[in-house]
Amino acid sequence: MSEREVDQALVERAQAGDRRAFDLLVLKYQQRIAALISRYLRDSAEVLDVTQEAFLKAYRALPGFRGESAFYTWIYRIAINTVKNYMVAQSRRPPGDDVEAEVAEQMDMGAALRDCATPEREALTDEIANTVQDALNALPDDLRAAIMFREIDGMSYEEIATAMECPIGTVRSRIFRAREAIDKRLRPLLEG
Amino acid sequence: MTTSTSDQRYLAALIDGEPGPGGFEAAIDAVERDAALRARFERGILIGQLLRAEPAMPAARAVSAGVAAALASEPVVMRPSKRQSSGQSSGRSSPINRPAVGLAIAASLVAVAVMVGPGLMTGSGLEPSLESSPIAQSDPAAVQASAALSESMTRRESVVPSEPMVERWALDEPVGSTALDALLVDHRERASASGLTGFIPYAAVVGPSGVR
Repeated sequence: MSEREVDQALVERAQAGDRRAFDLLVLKYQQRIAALISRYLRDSAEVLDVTQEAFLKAYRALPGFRGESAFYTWIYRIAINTVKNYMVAQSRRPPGDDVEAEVAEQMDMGAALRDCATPEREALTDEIANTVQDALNALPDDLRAAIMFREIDGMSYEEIATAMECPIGTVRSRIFRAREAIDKRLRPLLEG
Repeated sequence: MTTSTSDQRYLAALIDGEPGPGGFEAAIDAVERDAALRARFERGILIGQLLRAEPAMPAARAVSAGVAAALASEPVVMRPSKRQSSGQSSGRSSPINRPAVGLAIAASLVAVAVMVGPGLMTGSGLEPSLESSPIAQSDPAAVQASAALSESMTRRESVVPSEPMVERWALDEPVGSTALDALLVDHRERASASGLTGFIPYAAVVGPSGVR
């Protein structure tokens, strides 16, 4: 299943009245949408408010979403419109250099986003990134290779199993354990 | 923290799109039910973003709670079923068959045009003229067809009482001209500006009497 198919399955459940399926979509995309909105707004509280508003608008518009585009492309457009409307309402001029949603999905916007980040936000982001990198380096070779094949190279479990000459179940277990090890180091930062 | 095989499958399904033998729907059900599993799902997504050096905003983890709280007071959205959206449900569909209404209106307009048209053209210089038509001059068949049409229209005028219409619409008479002007003004000021569509609402506000 591709990421788009996973999202579409969640969307269809949400369209059928399963609100918790929509919650999973929010959990999945809240970071990316907030990062997108932080391109336009510097204040963290405003970024969170507008991000929340974008998801609420998406939920209300969900019956009309027919899956002709990826869910992320759709929510991306809603988020852009929401933040622009917010800025107009605040008598602020929204920037006109939008990145097309399809392009944004492909490109790394990290550099552009970091340009707009406040020092505090940037420091925390750097600390989190360093922690993840340290945790990755501390992993046993087989776990590190498995998680990198998956997250960096985007390989399927079957492809990883072939590359690592092991069963798919072993790949699943290695990726799971790699995430758990990274999560163990990350959680104090996120929840502290 | 549990590390059961089922948890592995559920997270693999939702984070990586690799549902395995347990199936995708079971994974969604499990993650929806289990708050701890949901939190691990969220952090798993975040870990992937950080490994790919994608932008992250840790404070955004509060958004999901805010969205859930806001939606708690709203009705659950439901996509209408195909049957409903195609207008076949008994509850929402109009008892009027729209295509049939359209056809009936079109037929009425044709009937009005047939009755009123010859009257409008009488004395206005708009009568079909066989002599002035280049087609008629060059094609004897067309001359015959036009003559038949003209005869048919004349016969129809003799059957339909056309006197009031001729009086109202004769353009060489001031009354008719005024009525037509009023109709055009009505049309421009009311019908087009109000966005009226269809013959019946149009006729309700625009009439040939010149009375507004």
